[in-house]
Amino acid sequence: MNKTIITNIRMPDKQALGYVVIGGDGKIEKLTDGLPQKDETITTTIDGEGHILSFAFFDMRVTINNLVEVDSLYRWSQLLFAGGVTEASSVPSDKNPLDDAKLVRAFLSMANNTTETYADIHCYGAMTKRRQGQELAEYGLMGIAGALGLCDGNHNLATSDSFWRILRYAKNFDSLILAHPEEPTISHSQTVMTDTLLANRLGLTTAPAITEALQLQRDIALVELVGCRYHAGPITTRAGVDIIRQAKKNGLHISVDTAPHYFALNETAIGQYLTHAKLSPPLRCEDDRQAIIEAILDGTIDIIASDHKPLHDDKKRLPFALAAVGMASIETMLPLMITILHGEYKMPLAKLLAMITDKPRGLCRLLEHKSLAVGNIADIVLLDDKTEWTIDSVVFHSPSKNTPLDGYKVRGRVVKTFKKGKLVFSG
Amino acid sequence: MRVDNDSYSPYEGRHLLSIEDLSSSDIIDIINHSLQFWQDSHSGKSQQLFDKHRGKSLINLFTESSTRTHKSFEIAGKHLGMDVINFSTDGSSIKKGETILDTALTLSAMRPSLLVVRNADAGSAHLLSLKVSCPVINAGDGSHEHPTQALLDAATIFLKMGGMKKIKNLMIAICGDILHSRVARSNIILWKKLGVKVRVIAPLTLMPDTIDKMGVEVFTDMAKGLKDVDIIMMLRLQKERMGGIFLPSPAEYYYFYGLDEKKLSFAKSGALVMHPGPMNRGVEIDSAIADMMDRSLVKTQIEMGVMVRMAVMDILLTAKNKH
Repeated sequence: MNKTIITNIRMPDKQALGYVVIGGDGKIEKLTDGLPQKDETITTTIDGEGHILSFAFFDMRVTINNLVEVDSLYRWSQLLFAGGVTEASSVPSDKNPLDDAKLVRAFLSMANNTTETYADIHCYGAMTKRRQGQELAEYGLMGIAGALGLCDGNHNLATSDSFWRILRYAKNFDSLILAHPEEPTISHSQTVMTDTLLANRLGLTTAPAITEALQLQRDIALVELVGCRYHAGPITTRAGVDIIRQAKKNGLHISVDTAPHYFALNETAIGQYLTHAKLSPPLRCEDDRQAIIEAILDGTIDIIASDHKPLHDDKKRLPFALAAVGMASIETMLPLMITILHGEYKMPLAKLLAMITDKPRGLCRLLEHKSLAVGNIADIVLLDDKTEWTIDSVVFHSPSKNTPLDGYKVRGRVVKTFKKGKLVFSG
Repeated sequence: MRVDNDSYSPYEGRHLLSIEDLSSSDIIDIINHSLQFWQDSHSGKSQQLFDKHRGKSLINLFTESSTRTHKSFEIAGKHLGMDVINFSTDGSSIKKGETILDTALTLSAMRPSLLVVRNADAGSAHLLSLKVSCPVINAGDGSHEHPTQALLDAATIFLKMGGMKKIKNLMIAICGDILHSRVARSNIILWKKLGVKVRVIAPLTLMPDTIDKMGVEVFTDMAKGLKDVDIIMMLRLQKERMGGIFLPSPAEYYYFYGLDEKKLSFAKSGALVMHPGPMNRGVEIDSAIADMMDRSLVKTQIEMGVMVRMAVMDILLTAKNKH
C-alpha cells in the first residue's frame, strides 16, 4: 500500500496543525487535527511546514487553443499545476471553434487520451456557429459529448430575438449558458479601452463601461422570461454588479464570475500603451475595481476564474489598437486573491478558496468526489499565505509571458499540488 | 338551381375557416359524412356521388405551393361532378401585385359555388369570407389552421379505431415544429373539443411559450412524451428551420426528436404513425417506419383526405342551397 501522509498542515483560517493521509488509490483516507499515529503502510511522508491545505482549484475560464501537439497536455498540466489548478475548462476561440459536436468530442478525446497524471481539461461548446450569434450550435449533441455549457467566448453577438431562442434551446437540454457581458454594438474589437480621461489622452477608441450593464439588463430580462441556467462573466463594473445584486435579491438563480485582474488593476495599468494590459473586457476605472471587491466580499460575485489567454510576444508587440487581447493569468490568480482579498480586505481564506473550488465545480456539476472529505479524490494543494515575493514572468511555467504584473509585490503562493494523490508540482 | 339576386354581396352562410368555429357535433357530423363516402366508394356506390353537384363550380385559390392538398381538393370536387378551376400564383395576377382580396373578389364575381383558399398569411381565409359571394374553405392560412387536415386525421383514426367510444381513451402525441404548424393547431383544437388527450413533443424553440394553455401535455423528451401513446402524429420539419436560430442541424434534430425504431418503442406497442406529408425521410422520421405497412396510416390519410373534402363541400353546398 503506497500511502502518503502530509503532516503539519492547517485548514484555511485555522491555527491548529493536522495531517492528511492519502491512500494508495489516490483518495483521501484520513483528514484530522493533531499528531499522526505510527502507520507501517505509509511509504511517503511530506512535511506540510504549516502550510494551508485546500482542495485543488477548478479554473472555469481559460483559453486552450489546441491539444494537438504531443506535449500539449503535458505543458498545459505543468502550467495549471503551478497555479494550483487541477481542473480547467476552455472556452471556444477563433483557433478552437468548438461549434460542432464533432469538434467538442475531438478536443475532449485529446484531453483524455493519456494514462499519465495530467490536469482534467474540459470545454464549453460554442453558443452559435462560428460564434457569430446567428445560428444555433448543437447543444444536445455537444452536451452528450461532454461540453460543460455553451459560451461564445469574449463576445455575445446574438441579437435579442436570437438570444431569446438560444435561452429556450439551452433550457430544452438543461444546458448552462455562459454570457460575456458587453453590448456588442457599443464595445467590440475596435473599442480597445474603457472611456476614461486616460483613454482620451492616449487617443484610443473607447466604449463606456455602461456596456456591461446594458448587456446584463437584456440578458437578465430574457433569463427571467425563459428560466434557464445562466452565468455571466467576467464582471467588471459597479453598474454591472448592482444589476446582479438586485436580480439575485429578486430571487433569480444566476451566477457570475470575475477575473483577478479586475480586482487587482484599473485602467491606469495601461499607462503608456502597455499592451499586456489590453484585455477583454477592458480594464475599468478605480471605482469599478472597488465595486468588484465589494461584490466579492458580499457574495454577489460567486466565482473567480483566471481568463488565462496565452499569447506570443509577437501578438503584443504592436500598436495598442492592433495588439491581441488577453493575459497569462493562471499563476498569478492565487497570489492576487491572497494579497488583495485576504491580505488587504480580510476575506476569510475558506470563503475565498471556495470561489475557485466548490463554487465553480458546483455550477458546472463537477463537485462529486471533488471536495476535501474522506473518500474523495486527493486533488489537493498546499498554500503559503505568508511569503511575500515579486512577480517575474521570466520564471512563469507558462511559455507565454503576457502579463502586466511584472514587478508587483504579492503575498501567497501554491507550494505543492497533488493530483489523485500524486505530487505533480512543488514550488 | 337558384340564382342569387345579388351575387356580388358577401355570402352570409356557412364557411369552413377553422376547427375553432366548429362544435364537437359539427366535427362528428363531418367525420360520419366522410366515413359514409368512404364506405360508398369502397363498395362501388361511387357513381351516385359523381352527379351530386354537377354544374357547380369550385375554384382552388392556392397562393402557397402545395401538391397533396391542392390535388385532393381538385379530385374531391371532380368526384362530386363539379367544374374545378385551379388558380395558383405562377403566371397569375398576384405576381403582378394584385392583393389576395382583389383576386378573390375578381374570381367571386364569376360566381363560383365554392372557393378553396390556401395562403401564407394567417387570417386570410377569414378576410375573404367576409367579402366574397360564396362559401370559403380554408385550405391552410399561414401557421393558423388547416381544418380539413385535422378532420381527415380524425376521420382516419375513427376508421382505424372503430368509433367514438374507442377514441375517448386514446393518447395522441403530435411531434415536430408545433410553433409554425397549422396542422398542429387544428388538431389540438379538434381533439380538445372531442375530449381526447393530446401531447406535444418538441424542442422549446419549436413550441409557443403558451402551448400548455391550449390544454395539451408538453414534453421536450421523446422517451417521456411517447410513453403510453397510441397515435404518433409526426410533423414535417421545414428545411428553412434547420441551421438557423430554431434548430442547429438535421443530425441533432433526428437524434433527439426523429421517429426511429428506438423511439417508436417508447410508445404503446402497436402504436400507429401518421404524417400530414410531405415527409422528410431521415429528418423527422426514419424511412423504414414511414413505410411500415402495419403502423403507418399515411396512405389512409391521403385517401381519407379526398373523402373529407367531398363531405365538407357537400355540407356547405347543401347549406348554400337552403340559404
